[in-house]
Amino acid sequence: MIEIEGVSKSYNKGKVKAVDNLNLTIRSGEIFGFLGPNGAGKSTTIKMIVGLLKPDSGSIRIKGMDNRQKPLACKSITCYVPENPEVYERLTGREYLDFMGDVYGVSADERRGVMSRLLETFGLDKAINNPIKSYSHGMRQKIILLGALLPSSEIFVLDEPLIGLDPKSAHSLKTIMRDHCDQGKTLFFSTHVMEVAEKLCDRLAIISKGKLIACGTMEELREQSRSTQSLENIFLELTEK
Amino acid sequence: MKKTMALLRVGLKENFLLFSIKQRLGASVKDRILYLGIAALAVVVLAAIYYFMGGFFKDLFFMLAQVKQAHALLTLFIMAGQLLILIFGIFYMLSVFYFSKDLDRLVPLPLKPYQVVLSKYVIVLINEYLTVGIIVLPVFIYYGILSGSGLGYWLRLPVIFLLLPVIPLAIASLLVIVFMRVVNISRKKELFMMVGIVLLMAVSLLPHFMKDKPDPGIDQEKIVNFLASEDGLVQLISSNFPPSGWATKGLAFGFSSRGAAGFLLFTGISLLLFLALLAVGQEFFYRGLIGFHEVPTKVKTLKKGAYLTNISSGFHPVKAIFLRELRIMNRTPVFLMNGAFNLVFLPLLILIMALSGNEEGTFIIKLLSSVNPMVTILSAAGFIFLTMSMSATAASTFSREGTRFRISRVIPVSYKTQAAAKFLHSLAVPSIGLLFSSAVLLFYLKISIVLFAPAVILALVGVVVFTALGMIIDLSRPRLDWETPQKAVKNNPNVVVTMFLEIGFIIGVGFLCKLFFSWKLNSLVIYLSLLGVLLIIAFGLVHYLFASAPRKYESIAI
Repeated sequence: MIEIEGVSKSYNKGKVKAVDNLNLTIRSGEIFGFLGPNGAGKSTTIKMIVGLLKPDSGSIRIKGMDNRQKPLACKSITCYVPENPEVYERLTGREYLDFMGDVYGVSADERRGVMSRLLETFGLDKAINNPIKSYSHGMRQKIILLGALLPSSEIFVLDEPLIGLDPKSAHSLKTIMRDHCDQGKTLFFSTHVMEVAEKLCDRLAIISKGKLIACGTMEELREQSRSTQSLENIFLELTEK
Repeated sequence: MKKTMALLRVGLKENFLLFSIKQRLGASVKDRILYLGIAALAVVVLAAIYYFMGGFFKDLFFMLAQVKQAHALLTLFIMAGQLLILIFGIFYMLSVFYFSKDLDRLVPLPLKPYQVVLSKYVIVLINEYLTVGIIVLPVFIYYGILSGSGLGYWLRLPVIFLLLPVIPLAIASLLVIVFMRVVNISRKKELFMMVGIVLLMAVSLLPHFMKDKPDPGIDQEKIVNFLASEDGLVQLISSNFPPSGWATKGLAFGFSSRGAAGFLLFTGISLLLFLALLAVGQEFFYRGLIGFHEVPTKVKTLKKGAYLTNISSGFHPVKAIFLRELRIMNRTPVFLMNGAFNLVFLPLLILIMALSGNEEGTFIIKLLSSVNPMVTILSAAGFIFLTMSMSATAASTFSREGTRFRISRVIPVSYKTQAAAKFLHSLAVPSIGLLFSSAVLLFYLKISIVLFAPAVILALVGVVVFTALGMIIDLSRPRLDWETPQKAVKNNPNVVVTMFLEIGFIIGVGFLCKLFFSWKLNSLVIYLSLLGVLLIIAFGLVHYLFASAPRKYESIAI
């Protein structure tokens, strides 16, 4: 469960308000989609959730723990996939996964279990002993995803996780996301792909210019807007107000 | 020409503080304070060095002036500056020619290879004016004042000064371009390149030390003849690197035939080598560059699950982070060159001297020991310490992570633990320097183990001081926004600040030793006092590093 209460963040000494008094609650077992135009404050919010940025005001609680007060406890149950697949490119895929396993305290048996399942699913089994430097953009995205899935965390925070993935891997990821949430885990992710958000998410939020402009299930969003059609129409209508 | 100028303009804006000073200084008050602080620190350290060197230089000048050989001092410093540029130029040119990220953008552009070579060469050349500006320019000015040189001297000075780095840097560039053409054929390119570059350094140095042993039967007449010639000493010194002799003659011998010949030779050879570089660059640069960064991969058909056999059974986070640091440094040539290869430099210099048949080493140690064994211990400790402090590992440990610092911020490992792993790695890398410097001290200089052991202890405590200091500086303001790895180490202001602080620290320790000796203290008391002072400083810095790590980590926005 993630609780965001009155969170604000500004840049340039308060001149640019990236996030403005944001309130959100993401329940356990829920896939929560976070939508918004470029520069709306999605990545800033995500960075505050995982502890990369400090909010100017407000608080964020992960499973009831304030992420500023108990950062290590929050980090140990949270996995984060950033927007840019920047990773230690001089390590091999296996070395990177081992590193993530070591720092999250994943046992050798657990690692074998997850890796035997996921490496083939994402088509990385043949490249796992090669340096990440030799990977394509999509393969880098996959190895970061695998690193995040390795510890079997309770909270997943993904920033545009589908960008760069081939259709098969994107489909596999969506299935994995659903499975995780069916096990009671929480998934918070940002995306620009409206069809995915519409089909996959239990609830959605739309942010624009740092402010939350809509939040709820697809049905609730339809009620909040005049549009009764697709999420894309709702999104365009709400963000262009 | 237009394209070359455009390329140069972009390169200068990208690389120099001077060209982007408004932008950088305008960024924030903190930035202004930082840059002014660096400048003030540099001025203070340099002023202290010049103050001490100035007196020594003056004495030497008047001593040599009595035998009309004072201009040999110019040769000595010109050669020192040029040799430094030649050796380090090999590193720099390798970095800018083959490891800059902008190459990916430049190669597809409609530019000729020589234009890219030219722009890169000029950027490093301008950087090198800092080296010659610090080492040679004050000597030029002081010499001009002491010798009461006329207007001609001051007019020729800027020309000679501007041409000083041209020859050594062109030689370094030529060596690198031809060498990398060969490397690019190999499969294990990076390994081949790293081993080769050390050999290249040795090869570039070897001729300068390979001189004939002095004739033991040198007679009075020869000495008189040698001193009778106005450029006798200049020729002797510059026989190791003739351009330094040409530059001296061009500068100091005025419009005489000797002076004009020196001036013409120096400017002519500079121009010739520069043109040769462009020609060789046009022919070989892209052949060495294109394909160099291709990573050979093994595509083996593994049995189902075979890739799971060598999975780690789980390491402590300190070990995991230490291994990550070690692997990334070992596999990134620019990091390895600035972190580990620099450590070989001083021992290699001594080794080359040994190879050239000089036996001054053991003589110096015997001489020092006969004065006071404590002096030997301090000199040996200083040598080990200097060798180990050549590494930029600690002062760039956080900057080297770049945007991947994000990973360090989100993993569930306390910042203290992460700092501890980095501290261990930053100590482990300079240990390579300990091995090399110990080998030189024990096997070439033949220092006794009784004097060697206390020297090692002193040096190690000193290295702890530098490691903690470098990490504190880098953590307070890591340079994470780099695209080119060399910006994380070579162009990192934290490495420069640490270097100046290290020099300041060495001067401080020197003062302390002088003070202890002037009090005529017992050797053991001097040693223990020095060790005590260093231990207190080391403890204080290490404590501050770990105590401040959580706060500093948190304050770094990604």
